[in-house]
Amino acid sequence: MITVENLKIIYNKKTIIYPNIHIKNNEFVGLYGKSGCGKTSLLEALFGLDFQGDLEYDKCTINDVDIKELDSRKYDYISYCPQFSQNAFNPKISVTEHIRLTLKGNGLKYNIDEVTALMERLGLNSNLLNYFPHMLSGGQKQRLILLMAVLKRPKLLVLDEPSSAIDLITLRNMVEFLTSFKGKLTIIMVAHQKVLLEKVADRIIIL
Amino acid sequence: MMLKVRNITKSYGKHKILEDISFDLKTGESLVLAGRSGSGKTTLAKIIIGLEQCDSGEVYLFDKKLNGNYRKRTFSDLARIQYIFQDPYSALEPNFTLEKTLMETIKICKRNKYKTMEIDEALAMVDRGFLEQKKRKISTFSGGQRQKICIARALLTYPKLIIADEATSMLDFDNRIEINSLLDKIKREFELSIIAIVHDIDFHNDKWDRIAVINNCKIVDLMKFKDFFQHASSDYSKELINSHKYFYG
Repeated sequence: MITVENLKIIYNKKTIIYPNIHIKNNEFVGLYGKSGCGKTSLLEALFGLDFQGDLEYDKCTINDVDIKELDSRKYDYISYCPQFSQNAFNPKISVTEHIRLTLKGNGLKYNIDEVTALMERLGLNSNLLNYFPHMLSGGQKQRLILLMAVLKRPKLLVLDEPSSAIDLITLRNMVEFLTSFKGKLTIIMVAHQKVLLEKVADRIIIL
Repeated sequence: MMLKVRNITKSYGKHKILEDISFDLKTGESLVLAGRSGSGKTTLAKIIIGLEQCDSGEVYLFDKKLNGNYRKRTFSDLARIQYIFQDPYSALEPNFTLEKTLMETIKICKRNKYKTMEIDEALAMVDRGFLEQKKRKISTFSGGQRQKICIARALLTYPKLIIADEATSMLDFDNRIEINSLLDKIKREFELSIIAIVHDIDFHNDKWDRIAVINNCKIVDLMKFKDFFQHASSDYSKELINSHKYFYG
């Protein structure tokens, strides 16, 4: 599904050289490395919309299409949750409205039973549907972002630090939640907790 | 007593966040606040610094009752409690140099006739390498370096209490250990107290003096950190210990 060969990213006057990466359909891959090693830059270059760095590569494709030829239509099948996605909530609308808009934008219908069942699996009380963003904790926002990313039914789910504000008990919920999608879609996840990646990923790429 | 928190209760509308929270913190003592996401740890920390107002209860710093609203606190009361935020990227102005970042705090303190630490002393305390990099722009520092700069900035006012709210949650494992060791070092060096909000406590390696666990709006366990694994009694704490064993063995 994803091929990266001889990729070099020049960003912020810094050059990062990446190992060759090949990710198959329905594989769960963890990305791990020290801060500043270029994990987020790689995800932004591959899955973002307006990456500002310079790219040099022999081959860099998603579903056999060169990444420079991909436009916003890639989000028809990709759910990309960048770092700090939890800060992207619109403060003026409720959680339900966020979910409704996500589904509407992807041509899907709102099914309250499906939503509450997923919330329960993520350890989220369905009362939160009526909450506004300022009433949510960082960890609740992170899990709601994951919920919306999954509700979209993507073929590729990309998560950059989805658990930075989550306690160990909730992290275990998240492990079980993500494990249930193994083999059903391709997942790429960056996490600074290596233990999390070791629990869920098929393999870990060290950058 | 350095800090006394008494009977803090807080709700957002009908939703109760904290109920009758009380604890003390001695000079030179560190307390880690644990609890699931949404349990009110950050709300409690913000009530202590006056960024959030509680519905009832009081906060005392050296037996002086603090006003619930930070705008109504004296400069000295504000300066003596410093807050380290989770996100070092948004806590610092990226276009400032390291020196200018710290000078801003010095200027504000001078305007209020408040004694400050020398910039070099604060920088040397967190990382001597910064002494040669004072003209470097903040945007060129990594997350771990920026968090150290936030700690240096906090030290400038000779604080009595530092609240570190998930100060390591955006950092990798090595930086997490480094920042926690740094907090322990400044605690001992300056005899200041620390309240740390940590969601992924490492019970094998972290060095806090005490732990308070918040669940269902209340403190359900409050004890020495080293005793927690053996003596925690609440259901939540036991679940936390089980999850720790699941990840870390």
